Amino acid sequence: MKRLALVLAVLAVAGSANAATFSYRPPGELVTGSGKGRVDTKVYAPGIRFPIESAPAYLNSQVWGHGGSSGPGGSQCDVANFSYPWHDNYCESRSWTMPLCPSGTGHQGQDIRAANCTRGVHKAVAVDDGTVTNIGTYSVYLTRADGTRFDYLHMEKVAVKVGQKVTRGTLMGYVSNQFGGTPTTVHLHFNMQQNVAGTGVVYVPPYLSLIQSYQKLPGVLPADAGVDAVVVDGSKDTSVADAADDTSLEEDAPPIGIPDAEEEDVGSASTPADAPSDEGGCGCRTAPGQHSGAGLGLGFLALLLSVRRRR
Amino acid sequence: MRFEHVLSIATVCLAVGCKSRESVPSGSGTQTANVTVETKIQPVQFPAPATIDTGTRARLPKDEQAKIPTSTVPVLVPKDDALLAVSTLMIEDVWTAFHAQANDITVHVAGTRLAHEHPEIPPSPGQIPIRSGKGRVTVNEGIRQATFEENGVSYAVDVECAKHDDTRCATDAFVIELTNGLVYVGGGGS
Repeated sequence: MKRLALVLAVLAVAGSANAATFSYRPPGELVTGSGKGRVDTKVYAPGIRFPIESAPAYLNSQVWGHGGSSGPGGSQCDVANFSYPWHDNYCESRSWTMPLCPSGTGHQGQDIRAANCTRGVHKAVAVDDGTVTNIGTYSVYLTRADGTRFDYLHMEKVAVKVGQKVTRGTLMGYVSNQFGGTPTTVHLHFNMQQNVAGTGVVYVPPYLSLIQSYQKLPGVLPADAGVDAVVVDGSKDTSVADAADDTSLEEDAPPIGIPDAEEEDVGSASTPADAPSDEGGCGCRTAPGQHSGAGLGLGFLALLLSVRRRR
Repeated sequence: MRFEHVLSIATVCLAVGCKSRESVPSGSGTQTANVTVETKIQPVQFPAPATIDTGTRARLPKDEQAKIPTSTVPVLVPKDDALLAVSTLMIEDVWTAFHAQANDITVHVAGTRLAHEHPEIPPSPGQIPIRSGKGRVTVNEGIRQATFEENGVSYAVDVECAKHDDTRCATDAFVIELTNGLVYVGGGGS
């Protein structure tokens, strides 16, 4: 029994580390039943900053996740919504015209959850230098000098003004559930729009740009990741053809981790990941990376008790 | 099984997550086309100065009127007085944007002469009649958007309603009507 307890304790340590390790499902792989995604490994906005100030953050579907109208039930605050791996939801089933989606319709951007489901505490920041060209009831548009537009939806406490020029990392507002009087789930809906030659102004896939930028946030990568771990390759047009044959896109493929090297400077005003979880009345639960430490502590305590009783 | 053993197993489950979950990263990655995105500046044809809607231009705030000649694309704005009165024009080297919020709607009109070249994306021009050509209408979380090309410039017109039950955002009709009604107020030195 003692050996079994030791094995379990070791497993707990390993499991704890894994639960907090960044990983993602391949681009274009949507939640089963939520439509057909765009298999596209191009980074449309290379070098942007991640739009939420600090990790962790979780990319996954609002509609097909817990608490969503087509989800498995439960609360939007379900721990499963706040865990890796990430899931693409560009082109998720919608009736809206989207020329880059396989079906011709779909979701225009990517849903991003912050560290937990508390609204109004997680900072959304400028992904690049640009001009705030629009603030609506629940939208803020940031337009870069090259015309690429980044849309931030559902924020509260918007911290910028129309016409304001901002620099990368500037506070834009706080992740929330604003949606024209009828609240949505607490998340940042993030779009990228470009004028694509031959097609016109369209929403382009943001998923890989977000993955690349996320890896530069402090704490996302293991400290010893090293150069070998960098697999976002900017050297060749490697991917579009390769991706079509990529077996990792199969349903049972393992999630992918693609660390990068440099960390993003987020300054000193980071939002604590352990912000009160019950604010906003969401009855939140913490994410795996946050509760596993307590679980481990209890596990070891139980183990010690077990050993002492045996003696 | 003793209580402490059960407790031990239960707490380990809490730590590792006993419910079904995706496996952890393998350490391998995916190769991505992280190349610098190529861009090109589209040639712009400005309408004749005589076609400027001077009446509408005069209803813009004075500061905004003063910006118009510096635009490198033809500036298109709605004729609605309430929108014009509270409008903001923003002008950059390759694009110009108009913003206004009034009567429970927010209108954003942006025109750019810079195109991003993504050769892997086959040309897919819009098919809906908009203004003098063809365009496209889509919806983004309730925000209606019409896009079209005119005089070498790619435009996007967004209409966001403050309330979900606003019929102006329930169908494409209003954004198409507003887009068809945009008027030229200058640009390119005029």
